Amino acid sequence: MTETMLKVENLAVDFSTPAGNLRAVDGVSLELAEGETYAIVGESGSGKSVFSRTLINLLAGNGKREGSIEIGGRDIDTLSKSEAKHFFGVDVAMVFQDPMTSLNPVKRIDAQLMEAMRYHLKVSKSEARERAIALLKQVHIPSPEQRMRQYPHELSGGMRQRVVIAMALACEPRLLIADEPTTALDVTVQKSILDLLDELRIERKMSMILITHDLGVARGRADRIGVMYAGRLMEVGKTDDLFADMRHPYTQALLQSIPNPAKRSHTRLQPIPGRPPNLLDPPQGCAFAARCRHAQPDCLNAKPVLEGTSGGSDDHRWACFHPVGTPDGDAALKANLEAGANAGGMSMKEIVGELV
Amino acid sequence: MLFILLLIAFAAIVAWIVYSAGPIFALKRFGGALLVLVLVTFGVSAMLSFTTGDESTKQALEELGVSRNAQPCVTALGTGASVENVNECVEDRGLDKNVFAQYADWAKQLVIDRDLGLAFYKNGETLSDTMKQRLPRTAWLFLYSQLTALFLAVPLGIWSAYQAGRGGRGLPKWALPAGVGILLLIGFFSGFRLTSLFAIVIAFAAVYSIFAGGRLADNNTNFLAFALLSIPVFVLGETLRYAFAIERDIYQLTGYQPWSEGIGEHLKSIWLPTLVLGLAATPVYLRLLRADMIQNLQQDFVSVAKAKGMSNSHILLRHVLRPSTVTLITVLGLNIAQLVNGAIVVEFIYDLDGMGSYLIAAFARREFFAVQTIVALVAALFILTNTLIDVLYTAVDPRVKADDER
Repeated sequence: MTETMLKVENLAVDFSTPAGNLRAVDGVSLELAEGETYAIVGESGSGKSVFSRTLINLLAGNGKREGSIEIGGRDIDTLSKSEAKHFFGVDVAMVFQDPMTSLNPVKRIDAQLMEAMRYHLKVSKSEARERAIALLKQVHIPSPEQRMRQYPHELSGGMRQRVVIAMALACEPRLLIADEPTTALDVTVQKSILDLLDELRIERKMSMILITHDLGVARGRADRIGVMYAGRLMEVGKTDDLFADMRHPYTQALLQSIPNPAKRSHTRLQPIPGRPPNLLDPPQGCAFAARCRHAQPDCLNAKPVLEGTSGGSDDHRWACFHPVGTPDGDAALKANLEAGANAGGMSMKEIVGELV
Repeated sequence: MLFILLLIAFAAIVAWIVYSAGPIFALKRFGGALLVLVLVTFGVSAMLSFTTGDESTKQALEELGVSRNAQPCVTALGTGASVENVNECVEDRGLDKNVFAQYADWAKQLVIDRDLGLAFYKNGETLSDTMKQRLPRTAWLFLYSQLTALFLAVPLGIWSAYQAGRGGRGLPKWALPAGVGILLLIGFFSGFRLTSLFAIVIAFAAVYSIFAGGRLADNNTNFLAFALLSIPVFVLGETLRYAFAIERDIYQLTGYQPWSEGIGEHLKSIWLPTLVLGLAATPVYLRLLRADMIQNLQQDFVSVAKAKGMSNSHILLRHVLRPSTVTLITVLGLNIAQLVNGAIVVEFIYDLDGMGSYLIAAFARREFFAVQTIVALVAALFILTNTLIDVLYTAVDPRVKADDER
């Protein structure tokens, strides 16, 4: 049994806004072993970015965190001030979404690469320089000595993302959080960046949290997947289990909404109708109920909790009263199709589209 | 001596510009600058030529037996000038010639003869003597006041921008008005002077804001800056003069002391007007820097630096400050124009006979030649500083290229 790298328990993040309290992350628990990749998948506004920022202590001034986070066996709330100073950025590091804006435009690459090493590890300038060059080599940047003296605007997008990754790796983190690391890049570069992350993760035995909105990316890269919606985990499980035996209607809808090469050409994509709930005024029941093809009256009244084949390594759980692939779920779908609308009042024709 | 030093400084600046932005940029810039100089001075020349009085004045002058355009000479010589004197003066200044000939005369005397001309026609004082005496006062006053303003505005701006994005200590809001009220009451009944009361209230508000932190501190800083911005310089100048030089004996109105009298004496003679001009410029710089800082603090690279675990001071000073100074530098460059005109009021209040007060006197006496020379000097300085600032942009932000091929 490998060591647990990250343990999050009942994490909730609230933002106090002028319009009221906004719960961006709601009761998320997950565990991540050493060397594992955990993908968190969800659409825009599902709270996955807030979740990732919370892990590295990057909450905005009006944010408040509840629940515990353990990284490498250390509860981050029990860190002393001086320990915390050299914890974030050292034991845990983060790669951000947009390489065009993640680098300071007025600082040279070397200064940005070396500052964290100089600050956290207290290495000499010449040693930091050597390590920075070695890092650039590791992320496959050609002629790193020249790149070191350049400014970010002199590099291409993919190259910059490599620099950002090198920067995150500077202090040899054990946990890397990649917040949509390829969203701003074009597809060919995407693959090479993801390959690079995989390579580095295996080389360094790092654990990785991969935040993405692309189920395809998650399927190819992650050991385990958590599907997030409106700040809650909807379905979690090992990648293979999850795709082989999809239980949550949201996961199903999400998968149907992305292009699938196995399908006949010119098949229409099936978008998820409606919008995510307004988190300033969250629904009482399941957050997805209004857009869900399985939604029954009980979905509107209570929030389902994560449950399923719990425990062990084949831990596959979902938060649904009428999951896909169960008699109960099939009955719910059938009842809704007959009624023409789900319990939230949304027309089934809109939800199911061509399947009708 | 001073002239040589200035020449060396000028050469150094030009050399630096050529070095950092390339000779083509320098050539373009200085070619353009020369054109601007000619246009500005000729424009001044043309405008001044319109001020020789209206038709009735001209007729009156003709009846007295002098030239129709003699009005500036009459003013310059004052009452009791004879007809011969006035005629001689008109001849000297070429007032009867057309604008172009006048301008050519002026340019020839300045550039070829290296003669700045007379400061006052009547007593024959030369402009170079006047400038030797007056220019240092204005120059030091301006330099010190800008340094004071930056010294106050930069740390305050950074601090204010930083506090804007933080939760404060949550001190009770009523504590500020309550504290101010109590202090005012105590001060009033113990017979404090009004200016002391004012200072105490401001000091209390400052301490409260520093301690409270957060958005409240940012708001208070902004409020004070806005209040300061709304106070005209003459009100501020008179108030501080009253508080420090008349009510108390902290600042002596003894007039300007040069460096040769010792640095202590020099600073002692000029610190209060410096403070006044500095305080007048502070809120502008503060608000510009704060706004740019807040904008840059939203940038992704700040999040990245935070995720790297860098300290707040490191992020503020090493990451955000430099890209945030672009607007500040621009306005700093534009303020060079104040070297002469902005200091007039303060020079007047504090009896510092500088270039500003000379310029007013010269206008009143219709000393057009000298006015034109000074305008040319200010324009040259303005162009030089702003060229310098264009080059500074490249130092602040490497994405900007000074030599932009368009």
